[in-house]
Formats: sequence, structure tokens, C-alpha cells
Amino acid sequence: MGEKLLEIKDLSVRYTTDGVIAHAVNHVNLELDKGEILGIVGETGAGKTTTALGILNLLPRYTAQTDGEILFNGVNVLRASEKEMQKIRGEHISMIFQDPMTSLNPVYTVGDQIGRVVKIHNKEKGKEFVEQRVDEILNLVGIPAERKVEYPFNFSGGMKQRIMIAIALACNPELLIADEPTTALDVTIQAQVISMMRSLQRELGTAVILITHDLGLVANFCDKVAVMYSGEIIESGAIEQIFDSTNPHHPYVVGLFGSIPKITRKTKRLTPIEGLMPNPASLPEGCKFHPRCPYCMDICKTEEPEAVIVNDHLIKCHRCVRKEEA
Amino acid sequence: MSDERVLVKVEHLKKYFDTPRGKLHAVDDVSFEIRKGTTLGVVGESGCGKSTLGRAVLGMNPATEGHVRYNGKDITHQSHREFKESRRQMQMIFQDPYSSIDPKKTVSEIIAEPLKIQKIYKSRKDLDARVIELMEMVGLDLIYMNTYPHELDGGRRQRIGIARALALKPEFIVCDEPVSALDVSIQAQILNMMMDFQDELHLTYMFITHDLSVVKHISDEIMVLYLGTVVERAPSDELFEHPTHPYTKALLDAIPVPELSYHGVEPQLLKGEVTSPINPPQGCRFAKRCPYVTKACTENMQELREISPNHFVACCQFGK
Amino acid sequence: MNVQTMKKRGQFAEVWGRLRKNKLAMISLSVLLLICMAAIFADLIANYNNIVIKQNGAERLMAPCAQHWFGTDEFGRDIFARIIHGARMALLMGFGATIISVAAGLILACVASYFGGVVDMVIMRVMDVLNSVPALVISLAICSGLGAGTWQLIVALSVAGIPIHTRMIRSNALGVMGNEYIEAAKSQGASTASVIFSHMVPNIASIIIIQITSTVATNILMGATLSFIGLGVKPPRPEWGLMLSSGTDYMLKNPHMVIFPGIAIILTALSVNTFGDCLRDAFDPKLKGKA
Repeated sequence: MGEKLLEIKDLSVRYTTDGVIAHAVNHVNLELDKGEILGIVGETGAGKTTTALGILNLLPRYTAQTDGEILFNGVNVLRASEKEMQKIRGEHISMIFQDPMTSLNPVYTVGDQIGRVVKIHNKEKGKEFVEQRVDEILNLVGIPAERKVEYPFNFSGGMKQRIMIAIALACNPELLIADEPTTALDVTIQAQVISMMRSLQRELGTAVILITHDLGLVANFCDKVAVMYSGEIIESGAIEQIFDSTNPHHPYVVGLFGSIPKITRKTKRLTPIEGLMPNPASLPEGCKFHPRCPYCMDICKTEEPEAVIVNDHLIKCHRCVRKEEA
Repeated sequence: MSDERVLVKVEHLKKYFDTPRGKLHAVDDVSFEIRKGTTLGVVGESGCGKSTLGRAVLGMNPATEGHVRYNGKDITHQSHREFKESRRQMQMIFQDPYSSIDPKKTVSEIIAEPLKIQKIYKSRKDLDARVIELMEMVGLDLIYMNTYPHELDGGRRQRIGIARALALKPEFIVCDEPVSALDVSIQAQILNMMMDFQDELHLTYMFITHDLSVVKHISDEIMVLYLGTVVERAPSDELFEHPTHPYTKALLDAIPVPELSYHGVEPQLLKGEVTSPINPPQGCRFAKRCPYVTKACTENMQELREISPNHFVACCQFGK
Repeated sequence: MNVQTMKKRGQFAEVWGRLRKNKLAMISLSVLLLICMAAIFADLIANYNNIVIKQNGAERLMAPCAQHWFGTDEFGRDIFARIIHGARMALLMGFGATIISVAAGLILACVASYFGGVVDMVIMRVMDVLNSVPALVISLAICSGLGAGTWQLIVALSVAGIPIHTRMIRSNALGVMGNEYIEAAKSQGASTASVIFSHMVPNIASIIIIQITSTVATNILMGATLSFIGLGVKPPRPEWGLMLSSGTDYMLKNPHMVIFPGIAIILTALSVNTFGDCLRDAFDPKLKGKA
């Protein structure tokens, strides 16, 4: 066990729009050690991005209310001042977003944009230092340093995303949050980006939170996994535990694996989860998965299941509670 | 397999677009056939011309050169009337469930549109009955009949798109990435439904996607496109067991597989960036990124050669 | 049919719901309705031939009093009655000319964006040429060419408005054209007219409504301006701009002759503009407070 970097304790986030309250994140607990790679998996609207924005304290101020704590190096970021946060963002935590096409400012050269981030966090250093650092960073992500004078439109999607990662890594952050970093990219380009992220991660020892819906990416890249459903973590653990089908699993996780066509085996028919994720403005009573669950019992409809943790493998399901008791 | 009836036959299809910087070769000399009741998967990365090809086959975007034959009839260049007529046989399912549905129309209006355009209903009651039948077929709750699409999620919207495509009881459907905008659990529901329809209604699909695991699941035969050219075509299982073209191999290698054995596995990376499809250079389009590139690759365009039964590859390293 | 369905709730129902909560919108709408009522029932309020245009030498230039609420003009005509009847003219110019020019702009814009290419280029270059001349100058030219008169004025105002509407609507129509549902309709074999009228127009309806409300006030003002300089409505027809114009000669001693037509013009323009703004906010609540 390494040193604890990030600790999320009982985090809940609610959005209020036009008097309707949406429970985006509900009682989430997470821990991340230095240098660890955590994958957060879930479908659209599961609360993945909200959790990530919470870590950076970037939730919309007037519509989002938060409960709980997010401790980064022992500092509760949810109660930190904007000034403290500006120092933490970029210098200690960086984030890359899904769409590389819109994340770069089209009117500045790539070198300018990386240099600006370097400058903000190294105010006393001179111009040459910044230039040198920009060259270093571009080389690191596999883009020739001469191209720093070019504008974003000269680069392809994959290169732009690598530049975004370069900007994110410009100040050697301790934590990198990557929100669907490769969803907009082709598979061969995705492979390049992930491979680069891996080598950078090994070199710099950055902890990474990878938010994705792609279980394959998680299997390939992450050490730990947390599966979110309706704003809750319903299963989490080491990747060996989650991807081992002989272990007990949450029915949603089983359904998620059953939904993916296997490239290595021939499956005649997929076994999807029927139904849809509930609306966060009107979550069901009891277990939030029960309307879609093939193993739904009476207790599931009324009582929210407790998390059962065996060797750091967490499952939030009444069936597992039963097994423990038996 | 060759005795099955060929429904769609495409011969040397080319589609060029004029751009300020020159001719964009979106589809360059593509030939294939689709047998009745089967699915041809078309795989490729963004910009490989797969969507353009699908639209050209349907006659929505007529080809620059070459021919498309449907049931033996040349449908490459049709008049508006012939085009409208042919819609009863061929339809399309679109990629984006958000932009492919008119937000100002109710669900029943959207599904009824093809029927109204073709005027093949006897009465208002007849039309409503057909809409209800279609909604039930695609698993849409009838309470949504008069709702507007913005109240529905992506999965339900895509079901509307499928109901619209099935309204005229077509035999052939071009599916342009119908599930790539959906979450995995919804994606599986839609894929299962589409496969059921194929069995029940004897549909023929041309399934365009960038997702190899999806294409493997649904296709009988797969065609891999790279910058407008076919690099490999083979029956689905054969392609995944014996991928031959260096690009196919790289593509298969790059898919992250959700299994523990793939933890930390480094795929073989393709170097370099994609060649521009505008005035592309002579020779193999993949030469710039190919790890096995030889002088011959940059000199001649590679022809598709049959290296084993029904397995075609366009690469000078094979099939000699 | 016995199928239970969810209630239809279109965009317009939602917009109306939002509009109803906006006080400013409701006030400006009431003022507008009042003006419309005045125009519709003008004949019941004051007889056109006996009061509005009949000269009465005995009652010249009277200040506002119990009998003549807004006073009388240089020919002894009741200003209140003339303003009420003038509302007809104002609304005819405002809404009539606007609707004609927006309709023409809509057709041109839809044709340009649907066909694109050369058609688009020709239409838009012609619009560019028209646009390079100020609208007022175009109307002036048309009015002096056709001569003064009510219909000539409406033609002038309509033509002057076409380029700006075409431009605005085209840019929105192009956005709609980029959606796959247009392609989907075409792929069903839908005709050009049906794609334009059943898919394109409904999706730019909000822009069209906003265009109309934002132009009505301009047209009322421009019509008043043209009448003011003697190119629009011919006397003795009551028209606010004309009343303003004739009042200027007596302005120092009899300010009521310019004050009341002036208030009528300002009130109408202000309420139409305010309502247009509120309508825009109601159509796109996200836009509110920005730009």
C-alpha cells in the first residue's frame, strides 16, 4: 500500500434546475494512492464526470450542492478557496476532456498554450526555461518540438489529444483525471494515446483516474476499478477481482460484461440488461438497480443494500449480503 | 455459398468530391456483393469513406464512376421517381439518434413519414394501426406516441429511427453506425433486436461501423476500408482468425479487450499519421504507416487477390 | 383509438409557459393587444368621415380638454380619434410589411440553403448588393419611384427588409440542413417542397417569429419617417409620422400636436421590441443574460 493521495468520503452531489432536484452522485467513497491508476466505469449519467469535476471543485456553483468530503493530500477541496484551488488545479491535479477538437484554443499556437500553463506555475523562471520545458513536453508526447509554432488546426485528433495530455502534464501533477480521453478517437490512435499515457505514468509516477465506458480500456490500463450506477459505486476492487468471472459480482456488472460482443469468442446472442438507467430526479426506492435486476427480491425494492467488502472488493447488493450471512 | 442470390452488387464504385485543394478520393474503386439475408460489415476509421460508400449504394449520393446493381437492376443513376420507388426496398438507419430525428415532430409522425411520402395507406386508421404495429415491433411503449423526441433517451430515439426504416418493409438496410452513440447496455439491446429482425423479416444489412467487436458479432462477411480502398474482405470468422493485411492486423491489435489477460499488454503501434485522401499518392494508401513497406508498395495500386476461398487481400506481400 | 398516450406538449406550449411567468412580456403584450383592439374597433370609437378627416375651422388647435382628450390639430380634427385610426396604418405598415418581407426572405433563404452551390451564391450575392444600401435609402428610392401612397409604402418597406431576413434565416436554415433528419427525409424520397415545409420551416419557426417581432418596430418607425418627409401615406389619412410632421409647424405653441403622436409611436415600438426580446428569451432560456 502506497501513500494515500485522494480520499473521497461520502460524497453526494445534487443539481437543482427549475426546482427539480437531480441526485447525480450519492454517497460515494473512493481512495487513491500515489501512482495508482483507477478506472471509473459507468454509462451516460452514472455520475462519473460529476465526481471528477467535484475533485477539481469545478461543479457549477449555483446549481450544484455537495455533501461529504474530498480530501486531496489531506485538504478538503470542496471547502478550499478559489485561490487555493487555482494552485491545486494544474500544479497538483490536471484534467483532460473528451473532445480534443474543442479543448484547444484555435487562435494560439500549441507552444503558446503549453507555455502559458508552464508559466503560471513557474512565475519566477525566465523565458528560456519555459521554452525549454515546452520542447521537453512536446518530445515527451511524441510530437516534434519544431511544430510548437503551429496552430491547433494543423494537428489531427490524436495529436490534439496528445497535446492536451502534454498540457495536463506540463507541471508534473500528482493526479491526472482523464474523462473519456479516447472516446472521440479511432482505435489505432487510441492505442497510441493510451500507450503514451502509460509510459508517461510510469516515468512520472502520476496517479491517474480514467473515466470511461470502455471495459477493454480499463482491463488494459487500470489497476483498480470502480463501477458507477445511478450516482453510486456499486462495485469496486482491484482489476483482478472485477474481471474474474468466478468471483461474485453485482448483477449490473454481469450485465455490462454480457452486453459487450466478444472479439475473442463467438457469441450468438448478447445478454443485455433490459430497461434504462433511472432518471436522477426520481430514483427508485431501495436498490437503484432493482427495476432492471433479473434477481430482484422483495428486500431490494424497499431497502438500500449495504456495501459488503471482502479483501477490498466492494459489492453493493442484497444477494452478497445474504451470502455473507449464510 | 455462391448459389445464394446476390442482392446488391457494387462494381468499381468511385466517389470523388471537389475541394479547394483538389479531388478528395472518398471512395476509390470499391467492388463487392451482398447476398440476400446476410450482413456485410464495413469497418474503417473516421474518414475512410465508409459512410460515403453506404450513401452511394443507396443512391442518396450518386457515384462518380462505377455501378450499383440491386437485384440485377442498375440503380447508380436514378430519376427522383425511381429513387422514391426504390425506397420501398432499401432504407437507412442513421448514426446519431439526436440529429436524425426531427425535434418538431411527434414519435408517431416520425414513424409515419415514409408511409405518408409513399402514400401506401388506405385511411388514417390504417396508418395509425401500422405505426402502432411498428412501435410494438421495436419495443417502444405506446404511451410515447404523441411525445416529442426531446423527452426520450438515445436508445428510444434509435428505436424510432429503426421503426422508420422498417415502415416500408424493405429488404435491404444500410446501417450507418447505428449503435456507436449508445451506451453498452442499450447497444446490446439494439443489436439483439436488429439481429432478430434479420431472421424474422429476412433483411439484408450493410452494417457500417468503426467498432470491430460489434461488426464481428453481427456480420457474415467483413470488408475493411482504408482511405477509400478495400484492403481486406473475408467471412467474419476467417478475418478474425487469419487477419492478413497489415492494417487489419493493427486494427485488431489495437482493440482493448475486456479480459484480464490483456492487462498491461502493449499493442503494436502504427507509426505516422494518416495520408491525406485529397490527391492521394500512387501506390498503396497504407504504405506510409505500414511496418512492412517495400518499394513496390509505393509504385502500384494494390489489387484485391483471393488468398483463400472468399478471403481477399490487397497487399503485395500476399497472394502471389 | 384506445391507446393511452402521454400528453402532447410541443415547444410552443413550453414557450408560452415561460412567457407567462415574465412580467415584462405580459405588460408589453397587453399594450400591444390594446393597440390592436384600438385598430380593430377604431370605427366604433370615432367615425372616419365625420371626425377623423372632416375639417372643423371652429375648433382649430385646441389644447387637450374634456371634449378632445388629446386636443385638436390645425384643421380642428380630434387628435385622439386620429391616433386611434392611425394605429391601423401603423399596424398595417408594421406587421403587413414585415410579414411580406419575412415570407419572401424565408422562401429565398430556404431555397438558397436547400440547393446550395450556384443557387445559393446567386441569391446571396444579390442580397449582398441590396444589403450594401441602407434600408431607408432603398425605401426612399422605391417610394419616389412609385410615388407616395399607402400600398407603395408597404411595397417599399417590404423590399427593404428582404436582404436582412434572407441572411438571418439562411444562416439558421443551413444549421438545420446539417442535421441527419433532413437527409433521412430525403432518403425516403420526400420532395423538395415537403422537406422545406415539413422539416426545415418548423425548425426555424422560432427564428422567424423573433425576426418578425424585431422588425415590426423598425417598420413602424421607418413608415413614420417616410410619411414624415412626405413620401408615405398621403394626407388627410391619419398616420402617426404624418401627424408628427404637420405638428412640427405648431410645435412651440401647441406641443400636444407632436407629443401624442410621438408617444403613440414610442409606446408601440417599445412594446413590440420588449415583447420580441422576451419571446427570444422564452424560446431559448439558456441565452438569457448572455450576449
